[in-house]
Amino acid sequence: MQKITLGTPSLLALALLAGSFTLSGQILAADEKAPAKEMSGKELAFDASKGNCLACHMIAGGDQPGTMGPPLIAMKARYPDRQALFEVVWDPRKKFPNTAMPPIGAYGILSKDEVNKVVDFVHGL
Amino acid sequence: MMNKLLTTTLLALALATPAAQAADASATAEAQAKEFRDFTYKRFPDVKPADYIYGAYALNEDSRAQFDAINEFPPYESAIAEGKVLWTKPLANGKSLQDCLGQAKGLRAMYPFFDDKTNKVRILGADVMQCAQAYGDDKFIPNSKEVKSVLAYLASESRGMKVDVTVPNDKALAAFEDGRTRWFQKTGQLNLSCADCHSYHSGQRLRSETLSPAIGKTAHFPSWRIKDDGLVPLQARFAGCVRDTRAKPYTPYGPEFSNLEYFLSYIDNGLVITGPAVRK
Ligand code: HEC
Ligand code: HEC
Repeated sequence: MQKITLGTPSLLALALLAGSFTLSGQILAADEKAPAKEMSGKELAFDASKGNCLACHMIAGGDQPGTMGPPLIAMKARYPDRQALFEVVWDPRKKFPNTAMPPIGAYGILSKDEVNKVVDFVHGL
Repeated sequence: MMNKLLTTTLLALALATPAAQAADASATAEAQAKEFRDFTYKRFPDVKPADYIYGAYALNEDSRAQFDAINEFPPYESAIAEGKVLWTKPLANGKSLQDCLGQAKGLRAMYPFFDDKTNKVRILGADVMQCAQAYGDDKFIPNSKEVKSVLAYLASESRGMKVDVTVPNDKALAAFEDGRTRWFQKTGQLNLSCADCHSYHSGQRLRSETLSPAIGKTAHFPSWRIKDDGLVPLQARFAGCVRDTRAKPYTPYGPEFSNLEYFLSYIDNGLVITGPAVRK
């Protein structure tokens, strides 16, 4: 249903397959920085080139949080069902049509593994 | 307003002459612009409409004080002086930009406009480059020092004048509406539109940066960005924001960004031209 616009997932997937980063310097930078050591859920949530959740959400322990999205607090109370939280992070458009929150999993911003780690971290907030 | 719109529409239907069509196009643009501006006026009831020229700094007194401080010692004066020299300097064929485009005074205030000969939006930076190239100079390319300085000089020669963009006919309306579409279109891996950041979440923060409102995006350009320690033409700013969504920006001065500039400039109608102005 998604129209072909700039940098749609299909284009992105092509670029990734080809192993060349034609889209943006940021993706390139993100990839070059790919750390040898595994990142924790918290690190993934805070890192500007990874989840970058902090850019938009207040999160305990994070400096200079953004305010575009609601503070991520009392998450277990609001999302007793972990799977429901996973769904929101994976593709927030299902619950919030036309939201500004990026489709973190659906657009490959984070891998499934990484989303799971972030969800574990966020669920504990 | 509603009445005027209705009358114009009825007239257009009744007469269906080119003149009535033109009136219809401009009324349609104005109605769309009103809706667009009203969204922001409602979001910030305390901001005076004329103050939107201050961008994010319009939104609270603390940041206005910050703005006044960074504008106290203008870092762009030498760029204006260089632009002034370039304006009358003979290029390869012996003629100057002034010979091509006319007097500097008030020129910026005439742009952007819809050209019914080419059926395209005309952008000042593009015309400067086109003239320079036609006169045999190859240094005037997008984001070159030459183009930026000339734009700074031309902005300074229209300071105090007001933005006054028109939508004269149906083809112009199509360009205007295309620009509006760009504003609402999500781009990139982050799937964000201009509207996501500057309409729906304006006034909120992305990390530590307060997102400026959707009105007042054009009248102060080129802006001097402290972060870049230099001048930034409007379409280079657009490109920066599109890149932040992790998309490849549209071609500078191509139809997409030019229509977007046309639309956003129309939104700014009535605001005072203040370029170049300083931003963080
Ligand atoms: C560009 C901004 C942005 C980024 C980046 C972002 N979010 Fe969001 N997020 C939002 C907005 C805006 C909402 C509110 C949903 C709505 O109504 O549009 C939201 C909502 C949420 C919610 C639902 C909260 C509730 O009250 O139901 C969760 C959970 C969430 N985000 C987690 C995350 C995580 C985890 C990340 C990073 C991996 C992230 N967000 C990155 C903007 C963002
Ligand atoms: C990811 C969020 C985001 C998106 C999407 C975005 N911008 Fe921005 N934009 C910013 C931030 C942050 C700034 C710097 C703070 C400010 O002035 O708003 C900025 C600044 C600007 C400025 C300079 C404002 C000034 O006062 O000098 C313009 C013009 C602008 N954006 C236009 C656009 C346009 C047009 C689009 C869409 C093509 C767009 N932006 C998309 C975040 C965004």
